[in-house]
Amino acid sequence: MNHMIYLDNAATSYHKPKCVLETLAYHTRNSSANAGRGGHDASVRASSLLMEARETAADFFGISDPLRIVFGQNTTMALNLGISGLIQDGDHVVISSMEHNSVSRTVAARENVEYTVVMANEQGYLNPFDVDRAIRTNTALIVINHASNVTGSVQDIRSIGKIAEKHNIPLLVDAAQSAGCIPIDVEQMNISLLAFAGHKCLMGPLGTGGLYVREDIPIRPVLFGGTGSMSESLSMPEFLPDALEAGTVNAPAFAALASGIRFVERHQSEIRQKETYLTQRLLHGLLNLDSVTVYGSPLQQNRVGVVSFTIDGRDPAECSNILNQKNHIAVRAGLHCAALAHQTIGTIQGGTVRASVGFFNKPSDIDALLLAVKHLC
Amino acid sequence: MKYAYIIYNSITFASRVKREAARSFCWCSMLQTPGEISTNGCSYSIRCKVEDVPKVAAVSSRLNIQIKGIYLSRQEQGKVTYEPYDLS
Repeated sequence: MNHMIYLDNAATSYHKPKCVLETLAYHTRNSSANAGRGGHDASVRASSLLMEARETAADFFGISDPLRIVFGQNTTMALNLGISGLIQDGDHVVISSMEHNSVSRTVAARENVEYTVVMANEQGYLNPFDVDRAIRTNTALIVINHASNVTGSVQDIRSIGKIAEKHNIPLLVDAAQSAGCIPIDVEQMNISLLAFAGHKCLMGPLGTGGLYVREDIPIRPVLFGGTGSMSESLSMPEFLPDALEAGTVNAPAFAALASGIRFVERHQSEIRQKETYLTQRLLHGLLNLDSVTVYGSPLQQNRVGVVSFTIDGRDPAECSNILNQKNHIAVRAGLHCAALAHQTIGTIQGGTVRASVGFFNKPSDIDALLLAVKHLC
Repeated sequence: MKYAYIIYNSITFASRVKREAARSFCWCSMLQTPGEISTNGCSYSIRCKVEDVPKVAAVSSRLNIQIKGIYLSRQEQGKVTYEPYDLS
């Protein structure tokens, strides 16, 4: 395992900053009581950790009220809370063709809800005017993937936010691949709901994610259970975060996430520069190989460090297996839980090989991948 | 010793107010609301010095966090009694 070259950061950031690991270990040992489920010191301490994490996340995303952030296990959970908590029978939803299954399946699962898939171009970019054109009188929600986990393409959320504002329709942004990589300010971008992963670019532990819900968004609970508040009632509390946060929250993990966010804040420009450099190096190397097809933009602009490619005559899964077994390089092959995105770029049959860079990768990791791919060509 | 109990709907609210109050050098503790003054099943309170009540109330108001009640506690002969506190 020590020799593994990890290029699957879009799935999760495997290597974490030391401060994150230390915070997780410390609070797992010392603050593992159940937050909000007692008045004893250990429980109160765990609650304070969660509040500190909410404040840290709120500052990071330009959110004025930390209580509007609901913690959950991952982006999928956050998207489910947001979509299922908002839409009702008879509603119409606009989504993009770059959505992850956590959006497309959640919307498609509702029998009495119609949806329109706004097509991105072959490189994975949406035209915001197409979003505008897809809006109907009964459109209740727009859900847009900020940065694709297949092509790395970054959508113009600011323009889409203006469209959502014009029509007074909530905009839910899937920031699984962007939170921590691309600056996000929910107020400036007119984002009504933001679903984010804690364990990817924000460098937190696995099992951390969250949903921001703007104050004017009337959201219903999706999960029901204990909240440590208003226990005498058979209904869920109406206030956030309790309304959407049933069950025990992993306070040590969110303390470690806060540590990760602070790390990202301190190193933001360094992270961006390094990931840009590594992505450019990877793109340049792959584009110079004759039998390799790179999907998404060949340029660095408006993209994150996610690069999908195929090798002529080779099955992506076979490539991934060889890279793993022979070269100890971790990449991901297939459809990446994003069938719509693969339909968009024309790779629904077999998918692609995806390499995704992170802050802890080195140029030599990219060179090792390029050499291994060259041997596969 | 007299303390004030400022009651909130949830520990999240109490925790938010406590941390914000501490930024104004107003130090409080947080605890489960005693049953005698609890307005519902699982409420939490901030316990502070009586003279700090206006500061904590101001912080709550600024954060738009509703206070469910304020009580003063008094301990006499080992027994704690509570009396409502009128903020106005």
